[in-house]
Amino acid sequence: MGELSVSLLRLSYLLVLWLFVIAALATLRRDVYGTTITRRGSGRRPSAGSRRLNRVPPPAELAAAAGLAAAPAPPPVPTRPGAPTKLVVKTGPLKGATLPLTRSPVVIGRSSTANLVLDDEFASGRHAQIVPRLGGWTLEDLGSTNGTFVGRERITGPRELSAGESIKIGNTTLEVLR
Amino acid sequence: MATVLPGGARPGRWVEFFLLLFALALSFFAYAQVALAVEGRLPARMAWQCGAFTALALTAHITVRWRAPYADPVILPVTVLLNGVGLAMIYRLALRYQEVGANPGYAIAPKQLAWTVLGVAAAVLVVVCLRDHRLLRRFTYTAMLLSLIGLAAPLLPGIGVESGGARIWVRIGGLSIQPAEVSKILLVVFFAGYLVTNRDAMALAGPKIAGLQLPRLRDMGPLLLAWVASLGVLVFERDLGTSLLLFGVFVVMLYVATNRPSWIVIGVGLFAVGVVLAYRVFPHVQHRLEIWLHPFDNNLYTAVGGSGQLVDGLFGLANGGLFGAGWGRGRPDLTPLGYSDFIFTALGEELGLTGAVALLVLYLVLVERGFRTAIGVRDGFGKLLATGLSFTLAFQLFVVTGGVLRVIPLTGLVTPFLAYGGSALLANWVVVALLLRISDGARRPPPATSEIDLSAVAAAEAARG
Repeated sequence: MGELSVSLLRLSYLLVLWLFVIAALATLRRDVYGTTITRRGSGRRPSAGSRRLNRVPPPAELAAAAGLAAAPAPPPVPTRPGAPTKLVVKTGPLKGATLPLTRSPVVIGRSSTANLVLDDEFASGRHAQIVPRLGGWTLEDLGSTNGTFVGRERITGPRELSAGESIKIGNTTLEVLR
Repeated sequence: MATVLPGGARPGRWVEFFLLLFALALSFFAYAQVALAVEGRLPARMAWQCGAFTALALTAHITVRWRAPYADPVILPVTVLLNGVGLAMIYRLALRYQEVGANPGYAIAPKQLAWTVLGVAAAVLVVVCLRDHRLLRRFTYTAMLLSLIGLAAPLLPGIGVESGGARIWVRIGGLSIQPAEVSKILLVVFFAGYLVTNRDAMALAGPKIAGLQLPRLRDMGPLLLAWVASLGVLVFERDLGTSLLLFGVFVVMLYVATNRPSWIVIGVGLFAVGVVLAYRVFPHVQHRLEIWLHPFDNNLYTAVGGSGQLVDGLFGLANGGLFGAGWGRGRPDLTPLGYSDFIFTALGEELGLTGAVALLVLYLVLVERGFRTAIGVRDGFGKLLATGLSFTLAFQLFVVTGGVLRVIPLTGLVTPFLAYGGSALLANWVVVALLLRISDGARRPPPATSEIDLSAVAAAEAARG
């Protein structure tokens, strides 16, 4: 084999190797641009970046996206004055975490499929959910083992929430705020 | 903890498929070039060998499609490429060893190929059988027990075998394995399970010294235990690399679990104490340090077990230069253990700095995907597991590559996926399978309950009037 073809083979291998590296990196681009980072405690701030085409919807929207693919997001369902707009974790490992209540139900529990995943041994997999209803938000127990409490009272059926009330699930205390 | 949401829920299976084809093409290109350079013609069996390797990789790909459809699309192709490049280099060295009749002969190539098949099979098995990584949490203490047995097994008389000064092999029925390779995965499982339960206690604040918030003294127990265990590996098995890996992984996972920099400071302090002790007590540690500091000393270079190997590796890199000698056109066979510990310098010689950096970037991508998975997954156990597993890969690579490049003293660890070594290849494929499984959990969109629930709510409201 001639000197030229040897060099060509040698350099072409390096070229193709780097092409692979670039192809791998290109698929990771979406990680750098087009993700939303939520810091503990600070909640989600709308920014100019979130207007991008491939912007990432918050988890509640993400869950809803399956059914309502490209439709523009309707305004939040609960419109009644005094209705809570966010859920804040007060105690437990997730202390400080905030979840905006937008328009889809929020399932709370230990299961990774829950919208708010609690690392709490006394919580059930799908412990309770908060659903929008009649312009407000309603808390429902999903058949948990240890029960769901609003204030000190264990709930037995759907319970309307008003801003400022605290919810106790296992060892975790949550609060709904305006 | 900060949570990063992935950009929509794109399974990325076709991206994985095309990257996989690309990786396979690169592996076969390397194989063909080796054969052309060394033998002057393509191997007669190349077509069916490549076909079989493609079938193997596609089996893994289809398994991922079937059982982990949202898994990260980059992990599998990068792993296949590293494995393929490693195989090509081992085949290249095997041809040379056969030609000059050197040890270990041609056998290393078919053996490594067989272990690759076993490794992919193990990975497929893990992805199929383990439906949810959180199941592993149940085996936290079982994993600890098994990993300790694995670490101690080479010390047992009868099955333990000593080779090259380290007692890390177990020989059962003619098959030598390194149980420590499997132990490291089990240890990561144990650390993740243990720390996710006990991290609150370990994050509790103790005395504050010089602006650094220290943990309480009574919470230091587990760290000291890990330290003693890793020193035990060093003392009784004389395996510096595994000892370092074990302690390093624990310190990093402890830091990630508690978010307290003081654990890193304490860990590094304990490490320093361990190094000083080892240096005082063990002649072989002193010798390694001597080799690192003065490799070009002529007496040391010519001595048996001296710096010859390290320096030959560096000469190889120098021979490779910027663009390398080309596949099959260098002399990586001159460096002892060029197929295992020194495979990175062997690749550096034939692919040059350009190729060696490309390989390092591939590792970087692989490890980044692991950490990214840890950020994305929503349960604490999964986060710690993914962090620990990807850190193990990164740390092994750093220790062995740093060693052969004379950044740090040389300690024996396996270059993941590239180097010859069945147990390590198998274990690292299992690590990749676990990362695929966790990344599937991390990238899978939350189940679309909203629509059903909303309509159910609406129906309930209608019924109530």
